[in-house]
Formats: sequence, structure tokens, C-alpha cells
Amino acid sequence: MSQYNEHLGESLSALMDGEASDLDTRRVLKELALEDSQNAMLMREKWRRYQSVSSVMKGDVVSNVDYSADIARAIAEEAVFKVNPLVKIFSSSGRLAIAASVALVAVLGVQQFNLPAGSTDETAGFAYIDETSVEGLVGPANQLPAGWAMSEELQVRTVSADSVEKDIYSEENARAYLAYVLAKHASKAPYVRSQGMLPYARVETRTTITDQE
Amino acid sequence: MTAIFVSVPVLAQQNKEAYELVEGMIDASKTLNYSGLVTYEKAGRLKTSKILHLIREDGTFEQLTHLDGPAGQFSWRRTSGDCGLDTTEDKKVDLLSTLTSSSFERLKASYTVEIRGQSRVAGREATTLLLKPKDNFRLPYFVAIDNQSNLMLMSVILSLAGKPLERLQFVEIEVGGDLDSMTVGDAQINAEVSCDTDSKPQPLGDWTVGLIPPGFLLTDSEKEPKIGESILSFSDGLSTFTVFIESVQMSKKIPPFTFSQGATAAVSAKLKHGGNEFTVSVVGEIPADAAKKIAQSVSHTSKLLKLP
Repeated sequence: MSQYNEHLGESLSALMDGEASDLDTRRVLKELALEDSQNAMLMREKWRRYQSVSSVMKGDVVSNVDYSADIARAIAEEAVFKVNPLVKIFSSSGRLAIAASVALVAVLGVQQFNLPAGSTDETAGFAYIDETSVEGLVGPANQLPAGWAMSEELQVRTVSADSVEKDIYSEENARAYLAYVLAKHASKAPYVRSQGMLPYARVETRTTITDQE
Repeated sequence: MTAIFVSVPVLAQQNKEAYELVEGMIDASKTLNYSGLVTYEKAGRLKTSKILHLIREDGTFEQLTHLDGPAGQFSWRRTSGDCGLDTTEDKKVDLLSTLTSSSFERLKASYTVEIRGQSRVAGREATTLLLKPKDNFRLPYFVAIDNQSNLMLMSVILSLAGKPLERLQFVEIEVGGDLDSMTVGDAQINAEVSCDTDSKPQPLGDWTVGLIPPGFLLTDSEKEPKIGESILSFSDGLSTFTVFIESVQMSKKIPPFTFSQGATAAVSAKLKHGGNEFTVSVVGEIPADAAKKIAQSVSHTSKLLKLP
């Protein structure tokens, strides 16, 4: 047995034990690619033997039938589908590609999660975070509560150097007023029986704007 | 053709069952004693609470205890009868109608109800229903009703596009048993509600809401003399919204805004009348667009009188 064959045997054994290095794997695959070579046939035989021994040791069922050639032929006969250009782009840029595809999966996941008109599965999802609340965090009104957006009318006014308007609409007052109307609304809703106690679950604070006067 | 002849009666039967389930759910909430643990989630946040609901001869006692975050407990009692004349000011909560059989009819007019299937909530077998609004002025509800007791075990409010906005769900529930004989202490009641039947609130003289979406009725009106605020509440039997009209003085402090969190939308708009600027705010579990349209439709009644 040549030194090369010896190495090959070791690589195969390592692959079998799940301890193969990149070099081992490449060496085995390269040899297997030469389908009709003696080495390839020997390796296939060895691989089958190793698997049988492993199966016996694990107490699994052992079969002597070699399906590999049939499977290989079946794969070769499969119609080739056109490669998605997205896949090509992703596969060409390494780690970035993996990150991007994970993000894509996340987006698709969210979309599937939020499909309209409800089966149990889609509503079992975590309550949706409003787009407006996210906008509120990054928009000009980022000091105000999440989900808050000033009307365009006001935004025009506040940029128009009219400092009086700015002073009047203090953030504190706006916040207190919002909390007040939400609480007041919630205190009225519970008496619609079909909602049960849901409205009270909505109440966050009970501060009122009048307290500040 | 055969398919049509077969499917129409089947569909009708399913619809009937769906409506009966909703009716059964309302009945159950009026007649059964229950307690349990609920989760409430919206905008990516989760709250857990303990709920107690007891029906007694002198009314319904309800209590909600927050189990996480800042400690808090709300208890209130609904009584039927003399419209709260005996209640003291700090305990009095506004008179408001409950969902009676007539408001169930309204609910039927505004939503279609579909049975979606079987599910399991809080360890109990439940039937899931989808209440789909017939227009864009209210939101869809996805609910699970306990097969055994008819109580609502889960309620998810969806956006018009079908995204879950908020969810209230029992994780554990106990119905009847010891609760039927439990005594209710008066000490902890924060609120009293009277008039178990449809009261007839009067519209506020000064203001009128031009756009009241079909099916919504005025359930309460109130004037806060201290801050000169008028409040009008509307319900279609399931969804509710409240209209606030602030005094000129108050209005100066309030910016126009739109806000939405979970299923609740709040829109505040400016209204000019007689040289003054008023703030009109609409808050409710309705689509933000609907809230905006409603806010913009408010006008002073004197305007109407001037019309030829």
C-alpha cells in the first residue's frame, strides 16, 4: 500500500469518526470523484464496511445492499432547476451572504406570521409591534412616548421659528394628556361586557393633566 | 349546482352556531363565577394579571391584580337598579350600558362571525371564532371560547391587515366551585357602576360628532366642569371609542398628534370655532384612520343652526 493510500485510509477513517480536517475531506472527495478508479471502489467498499461495523456496534439493522450507485444515477437524472440569482449573489459574498439570508428568512417569517384572517397559528404569534411606535423612536418626536407622532400641522409650526408655540406644547403636558385620555377611555370601556376586563388591562398610569395646574 | 344547494344550508348552520357561541359567551360572563391568571400583550410587551369575577345578588364584583411591574389592583362592582344615585363622587364611575341582548343585535349588524376551528387555551378545549368587521371603522377580533363554560379564554385584536395587535389570554382559569360561595369584601372596591341595562345618555348640547360609524351608539356623555371638557363614548357592542373636546384653555397646551399602541389609537386634532381653537381627541380600539376621520367630523352645534 502506497503512502498516499495509507493517508487516504486515515482520512476516510477520520471522516467516519467525524474528525476529518478539511484536507481529509477534500482528499476523500477528490478520490471518489474518479468513479472508476480502483481507489474509489476500494474506498466505497471500505466506507460500507465501516458503516456496517458502526451499525452493528450501535445495534442497528445492517444491510449489504449498496444503494449508492442507484441513488447517484437517480440524482444525475433529476431535472436541473435554474439557480435563483439571489442565491448566487448571496453565495458569492461569504459571511455577509449568510447574515443577509438569515435576515431574509426573518422577514419572510414575519410576513408569514402576519398573514391576514386568522388561524390559531398566526395569532399565537407575539403581539405585533406597531410601525408607528418604531417610527416614533427614530423620528423627530423621539422624546415623546413610543407610538407617538406629531401632526404635520404642528411640525410645520414648530420649525417656523414661532417660539411661543413651542413653549405652549411642552412634552410633559403632551405626555400627561395622552396618559389621561388613554386612562379615561379605558375606564369607560369595561362596561361593554363582551370585552370583559380587557380595557382595565390596558391602563398604564393614572396621571392627569389637571394635576399640574 | 349541487354544491351550492349543499353548501348554503351548511354555511347558514355554521353562522348560526357562531352567533350562538357569541351569545353564549355574553351569557356566561353574566352568570358565572370565575378566577384565573391572564397574560396581556401588546407592542412587544407582556403583562400578567390575576382576575376575579363574582356574580352576587347585589351586582357583579370584578377585580384585576397586576402581577408584574408596579403593584396595582382594580376592583369594581356593577349593580343593577338605581343608577348610582347613592354612590359617592370618588367611587362613582360613569353610567354606561353593558352589552345586553339589544347590543348583541348591533354587534351582529357590524361584524360577521365565523367559526375557525378547535384550539386549546388554559388547558381547556375551546372553539375559535373570527369576528370580522363589515367596514373599516372597527378592528377584527379573534377569540377562543371555552367549550365547557362558554367563557372567553382568549381575545386577540387584529389590524385590518390581519396582524395581531394585542392579546388577552387566560393561562389558568377556575370556574364555579368555591367561588360560588366566596364572600365579597367592600373594602377594596375602587369603582361602582350602576344601571345594568342600557341607560340613555344625552348628547352634549354644544358639540356634535358628524361621523358616527354605522352600528356605534352613544353610550355615555359627560362634562368635566373643572376643566371644561366634554366627553362622549360610543360602542358598537364590541369596539369602543371616546371623543374628548377640550376647553380653549386646555387646548392651548395640547399639540395635535396621532398615537397608536397595540389596538388603541389616539388622534388629536384642532377645531376652530368662533375665533377659538379647540382640541378634539378620539381614543379607541379602532383603526387610526377611522379615529382621525371621526375627530375631524366634530363640530359645534351652533354651526348647524346657522345652516338654512
